[in-house]
Amino acid sequence: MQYFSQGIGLAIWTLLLLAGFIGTGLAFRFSSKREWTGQALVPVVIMALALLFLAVTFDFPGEQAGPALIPRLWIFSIVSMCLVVHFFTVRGRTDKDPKAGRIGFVLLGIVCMVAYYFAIQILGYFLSSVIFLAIMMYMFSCRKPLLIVFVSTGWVAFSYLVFYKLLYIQLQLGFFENYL
Amino acid sequence: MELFDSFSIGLSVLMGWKPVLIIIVGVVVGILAGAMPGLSPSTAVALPVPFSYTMEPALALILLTLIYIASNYGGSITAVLINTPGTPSAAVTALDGYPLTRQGKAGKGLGTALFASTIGGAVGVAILILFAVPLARIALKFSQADYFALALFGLATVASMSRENVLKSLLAILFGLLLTNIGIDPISGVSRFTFGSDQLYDGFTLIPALIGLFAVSVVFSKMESWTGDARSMEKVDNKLPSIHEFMKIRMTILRSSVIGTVIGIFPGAGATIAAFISYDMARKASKTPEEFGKGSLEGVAAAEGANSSSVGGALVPLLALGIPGSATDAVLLGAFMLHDLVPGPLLFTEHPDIVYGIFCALILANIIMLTIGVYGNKLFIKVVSVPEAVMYPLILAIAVIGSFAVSGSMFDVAACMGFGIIGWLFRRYGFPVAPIVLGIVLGKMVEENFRRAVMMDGYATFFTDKLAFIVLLISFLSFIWPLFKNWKHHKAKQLNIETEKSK
Repeated sequence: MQYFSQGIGLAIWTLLLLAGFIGTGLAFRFSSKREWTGQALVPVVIMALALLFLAVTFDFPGEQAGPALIPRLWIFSIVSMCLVVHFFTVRGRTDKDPKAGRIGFVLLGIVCMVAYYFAIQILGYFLSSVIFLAIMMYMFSCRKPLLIVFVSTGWVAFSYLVFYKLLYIQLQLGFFENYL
Repeated sequence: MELFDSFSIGLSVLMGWKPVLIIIVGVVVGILAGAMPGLSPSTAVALPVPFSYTMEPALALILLTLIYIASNYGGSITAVLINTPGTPSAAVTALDGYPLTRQGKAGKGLGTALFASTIGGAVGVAILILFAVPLARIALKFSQADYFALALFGLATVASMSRENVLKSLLAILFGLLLTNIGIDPISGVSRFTFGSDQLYDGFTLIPALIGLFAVSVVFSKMESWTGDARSMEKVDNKLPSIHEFMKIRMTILRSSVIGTVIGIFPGAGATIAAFISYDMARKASKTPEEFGKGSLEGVAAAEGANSSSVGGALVPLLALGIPGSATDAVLLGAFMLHDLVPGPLLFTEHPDIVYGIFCALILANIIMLTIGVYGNKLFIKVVSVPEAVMYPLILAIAVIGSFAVSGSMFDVAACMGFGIIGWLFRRYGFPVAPIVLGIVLGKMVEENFRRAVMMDGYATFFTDKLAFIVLLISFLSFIWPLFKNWKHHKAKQLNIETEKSK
């Protein structure tokens, strides 16, 4: 098992787990249990993560009550629990997946947050926050330009005074750092 | 008589406009700091330490202690109103506080949190005054096995969060426990599951995880069901709980206050564990356990009573023995030393003005907190009256700055977003998120004490240590009982279906 704990072995193990995840997803998607696909995939993802961690524990020093003891205890409990939850899902004894809402809108929100994360490091916290808040408010159907400007600049002014000036939290300034 | 004399010395410290002003400032700053996600009580206490250096020692320490106690209440405000716990212990308050806000009863949620915090704070202080020294000595006799058992008992509270699906809750708690293993092993120093990333050496910070799981995930869930209609949240009233409602939860508050104080005394246990255990106890004792998690006043009272009273408990080992039980206590210990004072039994005899000054200020602070809370709640509630189109983007912005403020790391911001996505998916498929938090909070305590106990006395210690054995047995039953109840419920349901079919 130690082969799978690092390097190529770990990569192969990860790919195997990924294949297991995709396989489960496809198996559910194209079967009579397609309405339980999400319910089945959540425990599978957790189990895959646990199994990935299990492989890594073989690289830890082996000693009584060593660093691998507790992680392995949690991993074995997770795997057992996932199998039980999975069993109930296959038997259709768990709730069906909820009806898909505006998943695209959520994904757009996540993309905006990720973009905000990178923008903070490039444009700095203050400018990127104004842009982020304005875009998010527009996405949430706010069509009042004055309100958008007031809220986004107001929040930035508040965070400047409280976090930056009063609490000395070194908010990222991005490329403005050279000019301030 | 001796106690009475000491109190008169303590009261004399508070005479004059300056001490009163300091008490008010301490309470206000504490509430504001607690309400600000990302500012933990320890940070809130640490920030004014340099300013307090020039103040008289008694007043400086009163200021810092009051910030500590008030910040625990402040954390409940954002937890109830926008599901963003200001402090880790307020995560438990959010379980029932936010559903109350969604039902338009934010006033009742905030009012219950306020009353429970005030009474909890007073009970904690009373126990601190009366039993500080003997209690601290008992707590120090606890072994590693006892601490492990206590932590496991905390984990058993998962049963309170499960309601319908115990298995999903158990899976969620195990997921949280596994996440705490990421980072440097606290005992051997081995790097675990970091995959070469330096930023994972310290593991995941609690506050970004909390904000992500509770606040960001809710915004994503809202986005999924967004109809495109930018309106204000449901009509929210600012009515406080009625006397009848208060009388119904009085025993819950008192019980939680005692539980919180006792747990607070144990070094390392802290307000969060106290809140979780107390919430579990309240649910078990409640006549309406089905309301927990859906907006139960008892749930809010249990969480707040316990987390506020735990401050009094945490001050017991600090003042009586000079042992800090939490990060905030460690900061306070530093502040004592800054003023050439050494906490311990001698402090009570050599500086009664400081010790009893703090005690008197704590009593007064609870009254001021109640007054500020009653009038301030009307103002706080206005937060939820703002349109959703403004509220949700602002929650995301608060989440980002709150995560960053903890340690000035963009990695925490990324972790917060990641936990937000995990929380959204968990909620979507009916997996509760609170057990993940419980796992993250208790994971380190479980692991460290378990391994240390095994290293010192072997596995047999959990059977030979009577206290540990009893607590472990109770914890085991707490885990098994809901599973058994679920199975029984399922069987009864099946029997009903079969009977109806045969008819």
